Amino acid sequence: MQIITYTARGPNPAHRPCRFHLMERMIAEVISSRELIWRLFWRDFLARYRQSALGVAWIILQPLFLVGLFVAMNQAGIFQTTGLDLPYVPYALAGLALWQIFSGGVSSCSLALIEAGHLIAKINLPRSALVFAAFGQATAEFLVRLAITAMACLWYGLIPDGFSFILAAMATLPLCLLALGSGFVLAIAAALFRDVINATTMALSGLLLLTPVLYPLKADSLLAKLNALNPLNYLINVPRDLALHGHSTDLSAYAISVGFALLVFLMGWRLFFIAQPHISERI
Amino acid sequence: MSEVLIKAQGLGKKFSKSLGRGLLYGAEDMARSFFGLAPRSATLGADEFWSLQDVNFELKRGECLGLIGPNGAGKSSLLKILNGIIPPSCGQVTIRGKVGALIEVGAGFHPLLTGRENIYVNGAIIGLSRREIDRKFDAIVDFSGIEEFIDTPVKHYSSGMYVRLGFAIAIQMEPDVLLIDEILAVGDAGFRSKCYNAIDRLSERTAIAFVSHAMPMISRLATQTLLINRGQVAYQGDTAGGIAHYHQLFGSQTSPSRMGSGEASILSVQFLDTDEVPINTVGQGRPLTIEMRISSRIEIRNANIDIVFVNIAEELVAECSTLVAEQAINLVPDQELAIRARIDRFSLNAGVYKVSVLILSANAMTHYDWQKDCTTIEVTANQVGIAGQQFAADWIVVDTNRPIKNDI
Repeated sequence: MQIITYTARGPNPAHRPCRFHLMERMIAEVISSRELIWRLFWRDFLARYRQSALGVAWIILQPLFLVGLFVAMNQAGIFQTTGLDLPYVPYALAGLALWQIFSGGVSSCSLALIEAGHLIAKINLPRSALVFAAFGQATAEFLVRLAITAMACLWYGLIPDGFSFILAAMATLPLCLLALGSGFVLAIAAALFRDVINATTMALSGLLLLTPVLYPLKADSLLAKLNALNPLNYLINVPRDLALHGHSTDLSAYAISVGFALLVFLMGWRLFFIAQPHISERI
Repeated sequence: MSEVLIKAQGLGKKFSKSLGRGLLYGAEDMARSFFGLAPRSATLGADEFWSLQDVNFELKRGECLGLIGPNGAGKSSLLKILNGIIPPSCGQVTIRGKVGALIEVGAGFHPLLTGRENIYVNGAIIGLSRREIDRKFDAIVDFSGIEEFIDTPVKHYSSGMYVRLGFAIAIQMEPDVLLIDEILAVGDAGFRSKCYNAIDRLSERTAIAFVSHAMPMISRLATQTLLINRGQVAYQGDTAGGIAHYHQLFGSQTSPSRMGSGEASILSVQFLDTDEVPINTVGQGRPLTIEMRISSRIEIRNANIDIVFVNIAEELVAECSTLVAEQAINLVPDQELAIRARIDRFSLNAGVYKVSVLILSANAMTHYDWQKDCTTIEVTANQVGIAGQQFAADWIVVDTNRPIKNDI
């Protein structure tokens, strides 16, 4: 029988010294709430496209619109894609798909608690399930965009071999962890201070332009120097290089970025887990 | 079956009056938890107040704790702490077993999804697995009584249907501890009786903590009561004692107020028994006389004098008016009148009632004087009923020899 003691520190399941077993409790919570995560994801996915004429087609329209915009800007000579040894469209689509899992993940996770405010105030449910389910939305969109990218690759005659594709898929995981970790922190912060939502939107649109997602970096430019320190640069470009070229040059910087992503994920999740008992009365 | 399922020790909860400071306190709480520091001290900070203080009780399987008290006393906060939604500020509570809550059922419904889809989502939210929901799906639909609309988006449901479906899902949990907040105030009478039966069935094997303003429900369900007033435990013990204390508290906490144009005034109101002795307590079904002294600065023809009775749940339960009695009382300028209203059988349900007296114009539109909650009257009886009015009847078995027929 489950025994829980609630104190000012939050809930403590009996017979478990909480300090060193926090990780175990965090993982146990996710495992026990996997059904809930799936249902919440399914609910939001259905509800999102139900009262819309175009429905799920929006997932495809958004990236096509953005890529179309950049193709037009590229042809007008607003920015250069010299140094790019493959067609721009699959390059941009792949970059956008990867960017989307980060930016879509961060923005939907950061809203997860606020949007479920009524639920949180009335029902005791594992709040982390809300964040994981919100990230599920970004994953679903990513998968659709991936399919579009694959079609574009076929169209342009780019066929990645199976091995590098699997490698690229695995190399995407740290990006997901970075998004989730940031999402956890932002969800808590946004629940307290709504400013966080606007700030997140602003930061994400800035990052999309500053990070080489839709254009290659010109070597020795100021932006290239700045991006040498940008983990997103490696977390997006290495998987893309692996998928489209079959190899990548920035592996050591990528490894450091992976460490950073893992740290953000673990610390963000931990912060969220510890902070969640205090959320429902503040939201 | 007598294990202790809820054990609360020194529970307290403080809230901040200001939003900004409350958020800062929240951020501090989170930061302290994250860095493993001790929680903020159990004394009040700036702008804070105790919503609940020093609550101690134990509840075993099969027992039911009735939580009573005026609005804003801290009952719902206590229920939220027991449910793990908010942490206590001090003290601790230990809960053994699965917790079910009938608090705002259907809180997780999405308006665009159908009833069927929402059953699965809401079921998962309250902790049921897919398999459990599959197994109980028919029972849920059957209990809710909305088979016909199960594939309709819930935004087209009436509020009654919404609650019925939510309750039907929530009641399918097999909890060890059940928390109920005023849930029985909703739905039609037929559905309510279904809910009572379901709760009654659960009550044998669960520990129930139950917030209600309906004293009849409390006296039926609760095996012990906790009376909370302004965050403090005002009484703890058997249910009859709890209700009696609540009645006293209700009577002592009335705050009379006065409205109206002031052209006529009610100078005094008192209750008299058959010997014309002033009283504040009357036996159920006994005669009661209400005496008022009234004066007016203007002439009011066919003045409508109205006496209203409000119960502990702030519901208007009875009225005594010259308009309904079709009795004309004319007020003359600068003359004081003593008026008596004699009620042959004062048949209100046992309890305490707040009394307000009004002087209105003949069409009841102009309020000359409105003495709100100017006094209280307590009705005593051996048994407490559910409805506000209790008709005394002679119950007679007329014939015992007729064969039983099923057609009523």
